Amino acid sequence: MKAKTEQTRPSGRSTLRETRTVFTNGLFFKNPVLIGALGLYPVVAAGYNLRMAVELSILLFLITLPTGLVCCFLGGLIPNWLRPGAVLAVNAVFYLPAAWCLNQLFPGSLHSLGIYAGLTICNSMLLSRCNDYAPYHLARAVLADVFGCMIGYSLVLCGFACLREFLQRGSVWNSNTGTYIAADKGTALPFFGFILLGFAAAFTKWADNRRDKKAERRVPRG
Amino acid sequence: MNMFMELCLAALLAVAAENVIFTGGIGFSRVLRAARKPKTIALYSCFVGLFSLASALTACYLGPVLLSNSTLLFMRPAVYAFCAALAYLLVAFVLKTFLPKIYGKVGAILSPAAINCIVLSMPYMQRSFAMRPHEAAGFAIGTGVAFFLAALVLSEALARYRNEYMPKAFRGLPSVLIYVGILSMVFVGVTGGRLFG
Amino acid sequence: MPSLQETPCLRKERSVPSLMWNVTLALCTLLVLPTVYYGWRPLAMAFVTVALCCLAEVAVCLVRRRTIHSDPSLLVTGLVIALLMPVNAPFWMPAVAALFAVLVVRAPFGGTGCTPFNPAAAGVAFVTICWPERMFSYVNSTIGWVLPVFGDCTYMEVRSPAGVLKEGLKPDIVPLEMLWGRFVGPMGTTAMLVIGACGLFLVFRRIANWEAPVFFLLAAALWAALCPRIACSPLTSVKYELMSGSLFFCAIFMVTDPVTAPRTAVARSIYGAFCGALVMAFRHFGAYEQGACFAILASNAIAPLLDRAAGAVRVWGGKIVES
Repeated sequence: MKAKTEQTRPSGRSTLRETRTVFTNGLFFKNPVLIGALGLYPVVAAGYNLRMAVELSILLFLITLPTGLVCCFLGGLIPNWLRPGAVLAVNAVFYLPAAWCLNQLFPGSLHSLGIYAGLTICNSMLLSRCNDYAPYHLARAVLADVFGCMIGYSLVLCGFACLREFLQRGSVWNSNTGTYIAADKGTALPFFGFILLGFAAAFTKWADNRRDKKAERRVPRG
Repeated sequence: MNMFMELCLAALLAVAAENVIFTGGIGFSRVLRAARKPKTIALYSCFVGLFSLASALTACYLGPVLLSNSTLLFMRPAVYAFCAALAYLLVAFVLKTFLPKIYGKVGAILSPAAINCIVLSMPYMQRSFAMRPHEAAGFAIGTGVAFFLAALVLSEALARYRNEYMPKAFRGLPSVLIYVGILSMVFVGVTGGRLFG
Repeated sequence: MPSLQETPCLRKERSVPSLMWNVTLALCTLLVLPTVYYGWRPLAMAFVTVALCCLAEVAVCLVRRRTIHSDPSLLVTGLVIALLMPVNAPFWMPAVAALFAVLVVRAPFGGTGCTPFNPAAAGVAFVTICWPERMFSYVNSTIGWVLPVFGDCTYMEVRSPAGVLKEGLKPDIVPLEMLWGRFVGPMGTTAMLVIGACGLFLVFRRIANWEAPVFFLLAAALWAALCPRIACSPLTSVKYELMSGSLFFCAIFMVTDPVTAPRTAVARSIYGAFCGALVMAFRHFGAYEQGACFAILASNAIAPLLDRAAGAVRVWGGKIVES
């Protein structure tokens, strides 16, 4: 996506294509968890049941979106050395309304999330997008990146949580699916999350490699 | 002497049984980044330890105030995050202004070492274990040591386990994640599968 | 997977197949006594575990479109897993351990000769975490019942001496009787004399290096003597600790794994001592009555660091250490 410093006005189609690329990169091909190894702790440690995963995803989204936009509009004005602290402070400010909204949507969720709710302020994916990407890109790119990354992140978080809760309890979101697997809480522990994440990252890398090979074959010769 | 022993025990706890990195998965992104630059591991870990210490000690004195009513309790994470941001800004300002040469060397690792989940988790640990200031200090120092050991082990693994026989899809991050997952099982052997937090 | 002749952990005159076949032979001897005591179940369990290891490896080779070699290291992995299980464990437990060992610990890292962790230790650790109650309940071997080959065996379960020690109590059996192997514990870890003979066989045939197991046992014995878990003499404590649980078995068959152990003699000695101390630490402070597998995983993680440190010491000291 074109950086803010460029003066040329891109055509509508290429802008849309570029926005879509930014979105799909955040969603899958450059997924922040599976490729960037960012924001690991909610996936491996907190994401052992679907309800917590959904609550964390919503909280993270409600913090990332406004922070990303603020950093997009104002981030370039702040010196590089000052920006990490400023981004953290902005995160902290937006955490308060986000946490309030989450508690309205899911009463008691803040209490059940415990330490993980507070640590979303310091989530490395959030800090990375707001500190390293948003200040240098246009607002539509930042929005596409935020949405792409958040959806990609949430899909990984909720997908893993679904699997782990099913292995642990034989049901998802406290609903009874009618099956029961004799698994103990081992699958709820962080080590299992790391291993699952490793395999998912391998799958993503494989898909990426295949896409690159196809793209190479499509390049006309001569 | 008693206080010193308790401090050491708290440090040992942070490295072994209550290792926030392996039992909680907290701050692992930072460990991975530190492991990719082996020459900076020691300095990185030092800064993580120091900022964790500041965070833990802040929690000892600010914690009771924040727990006094429900509004302050709700704002607690934001307050601690502000304190962490202030600590980073203060240190960065002092180094940049008065010690620019040192800032030039450590500037790149200062912000990731100061602003991460490990540092922000210290107040929760302090409250969870009802630690007194010297115990919280020991725990913070132990967390810095745990960070150093984790990054050291990972850096060695990154260097050594990158071979042509590995499936291409597993080279790099995927194999590191699986490696860490298997290593995390060791800590489960200590804690017995208790969920963190 | 490296070709069977290329694994860097071997002396020049050895090949991986010959090394692994000798270890397999040693492990098979440990199946004799459990078969005598309990019937065909131990053999069936070993067969199922080994078969699953091989099938998982075949599946990996098919997915990766590689040629399928005969790889005796899979036999070793399968037998170690089976021998660390209680004889009354349901068959799906060693099956899960075997699949974990091959699909999670071996395959992603490149297979034989490339694994950072001992696959059998990781598989057993995984099953221990997920089903600790099943892992540590045993059938009383002194009653003389022949167990059903494939059925459920959850009757007359008793605690092993390792479990009794974990509770701070003295086991009923005296240490001298433990030598004959007629007490409860993981299937292949109770026959002390046979394990010792296997260890001597492996060391004298130069299949296993002696430094790691010797320092492992010395460190464990020292800890047991200095910090006994029960009120007894240091010597009695050493006997109980070395002969209960899977400590002795792990010293002979897992600490000596040439792939995951360090390459230099100095590093192996430190590695063995560290592992032995860690096993005892797990016994004192860990959550489970047996922590040998966890200790081995932790030691595998520091093995590369020890090699690097030993290499640095060699350079600084200017003295060549035989590796």
